[in-house]
This record gives sequence, C-alpha cells and structure tokens, in this order.
Amino acid sequence: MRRLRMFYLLGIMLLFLAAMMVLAALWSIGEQEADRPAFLKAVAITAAAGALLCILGYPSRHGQTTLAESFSLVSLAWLLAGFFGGLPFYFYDGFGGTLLDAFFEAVSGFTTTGATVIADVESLPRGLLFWRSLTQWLGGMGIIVLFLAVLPRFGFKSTTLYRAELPGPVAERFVPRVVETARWLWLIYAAFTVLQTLLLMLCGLNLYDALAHALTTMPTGGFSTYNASVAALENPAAEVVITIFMFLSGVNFTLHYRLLHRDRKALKSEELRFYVAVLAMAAALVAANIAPLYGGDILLSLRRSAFQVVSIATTTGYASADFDAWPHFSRVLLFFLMFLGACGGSTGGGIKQTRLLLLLKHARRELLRLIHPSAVATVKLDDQAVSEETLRGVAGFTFLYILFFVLTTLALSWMDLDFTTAASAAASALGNIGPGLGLVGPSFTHQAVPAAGKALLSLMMIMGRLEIYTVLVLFLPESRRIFKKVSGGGDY
Amino acid sequence: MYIIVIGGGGVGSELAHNLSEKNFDVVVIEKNPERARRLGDLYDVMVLEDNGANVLALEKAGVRSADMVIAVTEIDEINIIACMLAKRYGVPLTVARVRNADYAHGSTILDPHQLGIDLMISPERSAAYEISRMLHFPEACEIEYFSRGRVMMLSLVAGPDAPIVRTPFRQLNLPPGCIIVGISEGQDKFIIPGGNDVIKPGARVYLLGRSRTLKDISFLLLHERIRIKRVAIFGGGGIGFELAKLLEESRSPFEVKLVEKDGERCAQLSRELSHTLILHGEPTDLDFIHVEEIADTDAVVAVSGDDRTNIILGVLAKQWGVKKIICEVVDPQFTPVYGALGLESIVNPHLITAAQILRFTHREDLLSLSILNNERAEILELVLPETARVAHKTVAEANFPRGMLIGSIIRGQEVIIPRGQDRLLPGDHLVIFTLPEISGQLERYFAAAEKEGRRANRPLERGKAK
Repeated sequence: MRRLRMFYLLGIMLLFLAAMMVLAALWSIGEQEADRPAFLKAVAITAAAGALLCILGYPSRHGQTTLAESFSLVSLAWLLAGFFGGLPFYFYDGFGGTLLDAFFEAVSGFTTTGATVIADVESLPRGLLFWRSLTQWLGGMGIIVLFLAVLPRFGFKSTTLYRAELPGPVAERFVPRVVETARWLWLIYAAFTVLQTLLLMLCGLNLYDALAHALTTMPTGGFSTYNASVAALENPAAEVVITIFMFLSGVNFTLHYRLLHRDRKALKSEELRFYVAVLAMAAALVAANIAPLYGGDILLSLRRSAFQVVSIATTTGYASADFDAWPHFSRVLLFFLMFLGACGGSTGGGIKQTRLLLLLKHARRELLRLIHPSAVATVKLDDQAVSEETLRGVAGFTFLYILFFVLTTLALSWMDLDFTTAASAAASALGNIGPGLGLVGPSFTHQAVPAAGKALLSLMMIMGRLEIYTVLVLFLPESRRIFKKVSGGGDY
Repeated sequence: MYIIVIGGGGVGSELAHNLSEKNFDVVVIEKNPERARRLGDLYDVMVLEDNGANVLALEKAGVRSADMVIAVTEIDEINIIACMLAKRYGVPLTVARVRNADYAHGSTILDPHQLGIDLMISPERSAAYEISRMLHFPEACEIEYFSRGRVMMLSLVAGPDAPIVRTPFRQLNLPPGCIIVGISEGQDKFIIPGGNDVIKPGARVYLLGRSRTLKDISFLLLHERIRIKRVAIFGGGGIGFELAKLLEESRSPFEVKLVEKDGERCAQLSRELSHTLILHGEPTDLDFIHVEEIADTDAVVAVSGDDRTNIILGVLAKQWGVKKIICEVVDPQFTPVYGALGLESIVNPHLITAAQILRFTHREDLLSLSILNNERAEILELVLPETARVAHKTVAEANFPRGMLIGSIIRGQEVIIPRGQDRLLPGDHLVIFTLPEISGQLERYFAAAEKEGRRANRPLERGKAK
C-alpha cells in the first residue's frame, strides 16, 4: 500500500498542528477563556485524525516514493492544514460562520494571504487571534519545508518537496543538503521574527501585539489583531519598522544567508536591485498622487505610500490607510503590483520579480533577433546563464497565472460581483495578498463573496502559494506520466 | 643553457627554432611521431617521441641537469603536471602554457608558484592583449610599452604625404623625447637608420620615446587620428573570446560583433560574454555579412585560426574601407602573403609567446623583450648592473656596434633619449633596440662582470659562452 506512506507524514503534520493550537490557546489563560471549548474540540479532533493517519501509515513509512506521491503530499498537506486549522474558528461560538468560512480563514492564514471573513477581529479571544497569526507564520516558510528541517529522514524525496513548496523560478540551495538548507531558511526566518518583535516592543507595542504582528509580517501574511489593520496602532515608528521588515521578507532568503556570511556581492544581485527600483519608483509615484489627499504633507504621504506599496508588492496586505479611497492612479498601480509580487525565494507571493526580470530580458533578446537573425544570445541573471528550460518554465508559469486570474475573475463576476471587486479579489487571492479593492477593500471583509466564490478563492490561494504547477498536477488524469516530465524538466 | 620543450606544436616549434638559433641545447618531447620527425629534420634540436607529463620521459630528456622546462602542449593539465614534476627535479625555471585563466587567477590558496610554475603563459590571451592594444591605438602596426608604460615603441607606416618622408635622416626635425630606431622596407630590408638614410613612403617606421610625446606624433607619418568604436571579430576561438572579453572590460566603449561558425561554441561564448553581439555564421559568407551588417564597422579582426580565411577576410575588409584590419598569422610561412596584400597589422600568437619565454632565458635583470616584425628586430628593457662593461661610460665611449641602439634611458622619474654624450649609470633602465644577428653580443656590453646571487646553484650556462 504505497498511498499509506503519505499518511504517516500527514498524520505527523496534524499532530504538530494540534500542538501549535495548544500553544495558541495558552494566550487565553487568565482571560474569560471563551475559546477554550473551541480549542479543546479542535485539538481533540486534529490529534485524533493525526494519530489515526500515523498508525495507518507507520508500517510503510520508509522506502522510496514516486515524484507523484511527493507532489500530491504537498498539495494534500495544505488542504488538510486548511481544514483542521479552521476548526478552532468553526467551534468558537462568536465566529458565526460556516465550516467553509472557517476553512477560508485558515487557508488564508496558511497561504499567508491575509483575507478574512471575520468582520470584527477585535472581538475574538486572544488565543484564537494568536492562532490566526500563527497559521501565517507556519505557512510562510512552508509547512513541508519545516518538516524537512525538523525531521531529518522520512521516505519522501526531500528535493522534490523543497522545490514544490519554495516560491521562485529556481529553487536555490546554499548548502549542499536540502535538509540543511531548510534549517537555515527557518533559522533566518525565526531570527528575523524575534528581532522584529523586539523592535516593535521598543516602539511601544505590548508583547502580544508585537509578536502577533511580527508573526504575520515575516511570512508576508497580513493578518492584524485590529479591524483597521496597522492603521489602528497609530504608531508611526511601528509602521516604519513593519515597512522595513515587509521589505526584508520580500527579499530572496538566499541573499539573507549570503549577507549573513559576509558575502557582500549579494547586494549586487540584479533581482534585488530591480526589486528596490520597482518599489522606490512605485512609492514615489503613489506619494505624488496621494499628496493632495493629505494636505500636501510630503512626509506623511511618503510614509503612507511606502507602507502600502511595500505591503502590496511583497503580498503582505497590511493597510495603514484605506487605500481604496485613494485616487484612481494609486489604486490601479497597487492592483498591478499585486501581480508583480516579491523576489523569488522569499516568503512573498505573486508572479515574482525574478520572473518579470527574466521575461523582460527574454523580450529584449527577441527584439535583437529581429534585426540580427543569426545572433546567439543567452539570457543572464547576475552574470549566470539562465537555461532555456527555465525561461520556458517562467513563460509558462506567467501564462498560467494570468489564465487563472482571468478565469477566477470571470467566475466571480458570474456571482454578481462588480468588476473591481472580482478582479482585485482574484488577483489578491492568487498573489496571497489579502485585501483587494471595492467590496473586498481594506475596510471590508470577504464576507461579501458568496460561498462558491470563497471556495474558489481558497483554492486559488493554495494555487498561488504552491505556484500553480504543484497543485495542477493533481488534476491531471495521467498525472504519473506528467510528474515524470515535470521532474525531467528541471526547475520550471 | 639546457632547455627541455614539451610539446612540438605551433609554439613549441617556434621555440625550438628560436632557441636553437640562439645556441641553446634544446630537447623537444613530442607525442605525435609525424610532428616529432619533422621537428628533428627542420631544427638543430633533439626530439623524444613521448608524453611530457611522464617521469621516465623527463628523465630520458635529462631533466636532472636542465636549466629550464617549457611545457607548451595543447592540454593545460599536462603542462601543469610536467612543470610540477620538473620542479621536483630541481629545475630552476619552469614555464607552462595554460589557456584556462582560472588556473592562474581563480584561486587564492594556490598560485602558479605553488604548482611549481615560474611563468604561466597563454598565447591566446597574449595575442588578445596585443590586438586590444592595437585597437586602442589604431595608427600603429606594433606597440610595445616599457617601464610601466612611460616609454613606448610604435611602428607606423609612413603615408606618402607625411612630412618626414623623403628627407635625409640627419635633417629630420623630430620633437624632443622621441627617436626613430628602425626602418623596415619591403620584405627583408630592416635598418637602424643614420645620417643619410631616407624614409620612403610606405616604409614602416619604428619610433621609441616618451609615451606622452609619441601619442601625438602620428601626424608626422600619417593623416588624422583614427578612433575605433565598432569592432568585428571573425572567429570565436581562444583569441576571439579573450579579445571580446578585454574589449568588454575596456574603459573606452566598443561595440563588438563576434562571428563564429560553430553553433555550440556560439552558445558557450554567449554564456561567458555579456555585451558582445555573437553571430552564428560562416565568416566568408557574403550574404550573411550583408544581412547582419558586419561590413559596417571601424575595425576587422580576423582570428579564425586559418590563414586562408584570415587573408580573404583581410582583403574583403580592405574593400569595405574598414579603417583598421588586424589579422592573426597561424603559419609563419604565410607572413609575406599578408605583407604583399597590404595587411600591415598582423599578430602571431606563437611569436608573442616565444618572446615571453625568451625573456626568461636571458638574465634576471632583463625586464622585457619583444620580437618585432617577424623576427627582424628585438627590443628589450634591462637594468644596467654595476659591473657591466658600459657602466659609467657615455654612449659614444661605449662604442656599440651598428645594429644596436640605446632607445631610452629611464633614470628614476626621468626619461632620457640619449645622445653621444649621455652617460650610462648603474641602475638605469635601458630600452635597447637590436637586430637579431648581433643580439648575442648584448651580454658583452650589459651583463654583470661576474655571476652572483640568486641563481648561484645553477649549473654553468652552456651555449651562452659565445
């Protein structure tokens, strides 16, 4: 029974989730503890399911697996995490939503999207609110990558799992072993989180708020403990700190690793420079555009625009102002930034800056070939030749991304949502951003979206998080053969 | 001096030829029987048919008493291993031809000396440097720098309207700080001029002097200054690649097109070069050249690795009206053909390499040596030892033979273009221009009276007694 092998790992993951829920529930102790029964039920069910899967899968936990199993495992893990992770919300009386709403909320958490169906976040008990933030932190660096880091050996091809979950056109490793790489990623991630928590506390936030926001900044998640998001903090220093850390989490983590090891050449990375240039330009344009709105206060509009541009481009989705009330130009620009996303190998979503950069270079080469038909040119990134396979993969991915955006927008408009709402909700879900424009804007929730739409958006969030291919292979009838092709194709 | 040359290809046979002419004892180790026989027939050298990275072969060649081992096979690794072995045998000087630059500069923990290599040479890179220099100073056919670039030697073709043409030499009014050291006319005539010699139009004139002065002197011989911006390189082999790389790194912006006929090689080049436009096509396909607008360029560099192709390209480029044409000579036999077709700027990688190695066969106070115009003259820079015969004498008193000329004296920051009454002091850097026939006499004038110092443990230098 080869399928059972997958169960073991999924079971362990669920047990781990249960443990994390307990950790979150601890925050409610000493308060009225309204969420205790909800957590108890959720933990019991999750742990039971986990134990069952473990027992079923235990005998066949070792041995070789196929690529198909590895890819399915990743997709299934995310679906299960969404289902069981949503249970605490569902069992909480004050939540008032359906099971689908709970699933949506948890998927939005794990995929670091940050879209919510809860209108009054502040009414939730602290334990549940913390669980919401924790889901984002766990999902940010990848649930499976976490397991790779923690569990050194289990039957699955760690290489495939790593590639399936890590965003970007090329899954880089900076140390020879995947397991070791995964450990470094989590270490850097955790260190940044601690640092940000401390800095936020220095800005005057209490431990709970500081930690909750750090947990959702580093994965570029965007859940806040307040209805009005970061704007509710009314703390300019904290806003600046969050802006900086959003920016940092949007940078390729390989660069963090290299900088940590005093490799100054990392700063010369073309993608990093492109990323900084795009963000700086967008921030300047938006600042100029919204300046009249803030009475010509340049500093304030710059702070607001920088925060919002970084938040959207890194696909975090915090709001420090109601950007849906900004002029048309700013709204359109932010909408397009949703597609762009952060750097490859970061915790951010979207199409990724690397891919856009590669496509631009590819286009320039095609132009050159028009006038020089015999020219032989290689697309390069950081002076390294990029293989044609990677380029094809990038073009294919970008096409699929746009295709799914179009289809989702169409489906949502069928459900009678207006164009702005439908398009921005689709882009926001695929890019793991969170808020959109119109009815799903920063001052509203996704409650306006009908049930079918929520299910669709949940799926798109997972699609966007796992970069489409990983999920898509599940739906192919001849999946096994396709799996082999994918593996043969290298890094897509 | 007892020298072992490993590898009898282009560089190897050039060296065998040159070194045996200079009365050194040369043993060549060559694996290819055909080549080995040919070398033995042509030159006065001993030839061993064997693999040079083999201990037994080296012993048979007499590595224990050799003064120098020069490994110039086609394969980097063989050359490196041969030098490492030779060093273990205590050979004082080892030279390896290494194409791959990563061996020389790639590592900070292992430099060539640790590998047992005293001199690492790459004919391709040297040729590329030479061509790059020509492109930066397109008026000159040949350029050499001395004393860290302060003194320079140029050779230029005198145009028919140039002011110095048809005037007796002694009436020439050259700006201070430079001197004409040689004139070459036609195929064989090469003179170190004096008194009544006259420069004919079309002759190649060798000028030596301060770099700053020489850079503006071209008006004496030519027309206006040429500025090269667009360069077309034909042939993406070692030289073509190295040159494109040099031009990419150059401070003056070049627009480089590189033509290569092999598709695989094109792909490889495009991975390693960044701004160069790499075109895949036959260098002599005129339709291709037209479509890709290759003819519309300032300079053509023909380094296809084949003399026939290079000659055709050179002639074509003349027809297109290209300002500067530089050709690579693969087989020295063809040198006169280039000359006859008016292709003045030629580069012979084997000769350049041989010059680099010959510098090594001389004494240690020799700073540089270059072979000019297909071995018709040599120019060298050396430090005058305290005990040399001409030290403390004036140039007139030193009584140099005809065919030997002190081009300049560099004393501290000063550059002196010597006249009869100028005195030669120990420690001076001298740039000397000689004809090859009398270059053997250099020792008599400039060598220290007695050998001492660093290479005291070396066996007596045979063949140098002359």
